[in-house]
Amino acid sequence: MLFSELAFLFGFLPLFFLCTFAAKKNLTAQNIILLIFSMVFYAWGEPVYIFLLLISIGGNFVAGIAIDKFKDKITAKKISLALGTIFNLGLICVFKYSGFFCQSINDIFGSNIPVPEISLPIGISFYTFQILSYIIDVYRGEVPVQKNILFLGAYLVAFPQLIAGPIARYQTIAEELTDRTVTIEDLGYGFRRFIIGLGKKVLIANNAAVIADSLLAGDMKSFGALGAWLAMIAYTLQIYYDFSGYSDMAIGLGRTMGFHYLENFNYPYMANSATDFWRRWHISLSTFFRDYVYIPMGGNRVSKPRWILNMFTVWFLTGLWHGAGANFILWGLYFFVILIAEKTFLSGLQKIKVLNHITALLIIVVGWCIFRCESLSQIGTVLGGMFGVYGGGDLEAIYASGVLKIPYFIALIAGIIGSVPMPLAKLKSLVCTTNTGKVVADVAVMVVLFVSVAMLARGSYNPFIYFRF
Amino acid sequence: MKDKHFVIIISAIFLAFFISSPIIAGLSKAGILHSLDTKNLFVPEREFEDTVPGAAVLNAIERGKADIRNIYTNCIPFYNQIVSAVQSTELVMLNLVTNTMDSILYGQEDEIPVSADTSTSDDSANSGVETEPPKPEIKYRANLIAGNGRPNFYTIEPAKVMERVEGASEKELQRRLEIQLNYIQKIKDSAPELNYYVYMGTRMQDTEIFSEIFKGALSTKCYFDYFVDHLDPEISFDYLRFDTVEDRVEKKFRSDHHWNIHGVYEGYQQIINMMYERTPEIGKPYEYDIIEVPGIKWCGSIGGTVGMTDEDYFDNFEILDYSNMPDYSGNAYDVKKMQEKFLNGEYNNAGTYADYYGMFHQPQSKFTFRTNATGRNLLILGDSYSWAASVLIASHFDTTICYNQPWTTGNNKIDYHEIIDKYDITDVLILQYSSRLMFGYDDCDFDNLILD
Repeated sequence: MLFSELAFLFGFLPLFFLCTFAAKKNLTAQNIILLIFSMVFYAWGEPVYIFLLLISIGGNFVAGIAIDKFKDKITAKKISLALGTIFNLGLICVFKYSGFFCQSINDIFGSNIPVPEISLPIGISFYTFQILSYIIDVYRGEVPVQKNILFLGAYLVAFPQLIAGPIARYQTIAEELTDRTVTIEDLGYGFRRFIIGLGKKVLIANNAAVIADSLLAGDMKSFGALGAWLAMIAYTLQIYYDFSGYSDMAIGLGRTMGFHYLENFNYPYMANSATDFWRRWHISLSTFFRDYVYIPMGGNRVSKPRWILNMFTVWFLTGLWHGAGANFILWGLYFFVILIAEKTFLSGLQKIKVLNHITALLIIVVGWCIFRCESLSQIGTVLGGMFGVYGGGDLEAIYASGVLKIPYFIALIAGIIGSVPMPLAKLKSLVCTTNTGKVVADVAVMVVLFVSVAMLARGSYNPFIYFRF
Repeated sequence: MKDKHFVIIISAIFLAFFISSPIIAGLSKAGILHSLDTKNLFVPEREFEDTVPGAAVLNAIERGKADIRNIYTNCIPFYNQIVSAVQSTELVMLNLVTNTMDSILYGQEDEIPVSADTSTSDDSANSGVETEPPKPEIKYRANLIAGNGRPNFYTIEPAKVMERVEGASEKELQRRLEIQLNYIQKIKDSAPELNYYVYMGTRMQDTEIFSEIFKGALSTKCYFDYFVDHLDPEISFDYLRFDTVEDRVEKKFRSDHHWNIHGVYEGYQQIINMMYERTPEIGKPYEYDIIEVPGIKWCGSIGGTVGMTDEDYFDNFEILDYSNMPDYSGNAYDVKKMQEKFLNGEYNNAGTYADYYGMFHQPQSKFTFRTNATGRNLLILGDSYSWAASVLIASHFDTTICYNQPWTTGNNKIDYHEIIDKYDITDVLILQYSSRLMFGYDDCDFDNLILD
């Protein structure tokens, strides 16, 4: 089930809130309701893999208990952590990476290992890292072990962030699992944040996606530089608004339940460098790798060769986390090279802010090209198109692709404006200082809700089955 | 706005939808409302075989999910009005872009009247024959109105017709074409003693004139030519012709992808003439009058998909006068009764977006017109195009069996030789819409026909 589905908005969500409201004085009941509804949410699309979730909850519950039990026995404690980690990484390796690993071995060595075809359990990357953070933090003594398996399950599978993050570390919400209140301000904030996130996803990301998908599936050589840049700008906005929109919805829903998830994005396209970009993009993932991989390996407080190895490991894993594909690993290593360069021989050059910003955007967009394309040759074609190898572009061919539509361009313009903080900050300072202004702002939020629902309704109307006649 | 007021308003909106949608669904099932009378119904996303443990429960869950989706999509308050409003807005915005882009790319090419040729006036005075002034030449232009390439939807101006244009890579189209040609060859090779005929319900996209009108869109003319060139020469072939846009207006619905009764009648004549050359015992085509069914103005598949509201693109509905057709048995579908019902206005209130073509013509399975009269029995491998022509063609044969992909066959396998033996088939006609016949789209690729 997706947040941007009418059945979720008008069926699942109201029922969830009604049940939670009915249990408002009983936190245990609320957590159980959250657990049950989250299981239903996940099972809606992936009924088989609900068992994987249950196995993950059970296995990590046991690991956490064992780590806590052996807290004074270092060896046993380490073994418990190791087993827990192997268990979690083993699950993700089997279900996400086994096919890719086997195929890669066959391609490199010419072997004939059978390639397993396992469909990817949705959200496995998110909830695996989430639960890893739990057992590691228990090991480090940073959080108390959770002795109620239902509460641990509610943390792991909470539907707001189950399938698309942010990766909520256990220490962020540990206290709120057992002690939380929801004020009217929390509900107000949560509803507004959720609606804004819905608007980002439905009104901007979905429209930008049509431009990107249509152009990238077409003949880039005839689209030329105009088409290539249009495609990549659209994709750059699509991925940001899709992901940050989901994060907004997750944070908003979490707040309505009394959970305070951390921010996952901070205007990433304002970055002045690749380093700065990664402080603003998917913050929950980059901090996870920093705290659980980079720093334990020594971070930058080691010899230079070792530091480079640490960086390589983190960025290789970052790429791999995003997908079981060579292009994702290439994307991760692309940033590895850029980041090493920024921290070494390019460190003295970052003095002109505007130039830095433009360079950073170029690095980011080229990175998205590597991320999005399905093969090395497609990467080459799109980059070639962007840098003029196929000429300026044929407007007629772009027109025939069907992307020149007003709603798409409204989405692109809104996306570009919304990706910088200044217009919204200015608007807030002008409008939200008076009561009337606040009413206007809330009416605007409601308009976003209505238009998003209208677009979802339109998108749900698909009588194509008639064409089978 | 205070948080309290905002929360109350948002909660009220969500609760209103939550409560009213199931009520609307209930009223629709009771026949009081018609929200669930739509082609937009969700069906179970998957079906578990009986051999799967717990299949009954799993299938019930899938049906439940589809029902919930239908309740909270088709039955949300004002769903149809919301969809229509968005579609209309999209169309208005699209027209703005189309007009702008056309003037940038192609200049103003609406009408280029050709001046009347006055030099013939002397000739006509000598010959004593009055000549009509030549009609102004109309430049037709296709406007993209919806779609993301797979497919795209166009209107042809100023003809006021709509077209669906498929998009795919050349590689994919060629691959599909080869598969279809192989299938047809296998069908023929598995029972070569029979007579084989292929008739294609062509599209604008397959024609010579397509590229002149649909600038930048994919033409499938070369694939049509390849199909014709590589079809077994022992298979007789013909197709619905569109040499001009006027042909298109005349022979197909404005807003639907099917042929109208003029196209059906022409196709029927072409098919019987094609068959007559080999088997004159079936006779020449019969003559029928065309009758307009009063009171129907409808919007077909293409118009419905894009939310067309401009009635200039809507169609009237015409049928043949079947009253002199011989009676037949073996089929619950009675074309004369359908004619009577339609002419009596029994279907007039079905709604603008109702499928009048499908309601009148319907899929059929078997016709027995007469026995041992011609000694010839026909097998039609068709689709919805063949629905309209089957009864006409069948009237020339003793018994006719129709298989219309993909419904009457579904995923069931059909044994080709069993049918041939059971019904003593002498002739096989493949009659399909070109996107299916050439490319196997919409699940029509003959793979459920057992030939060995």
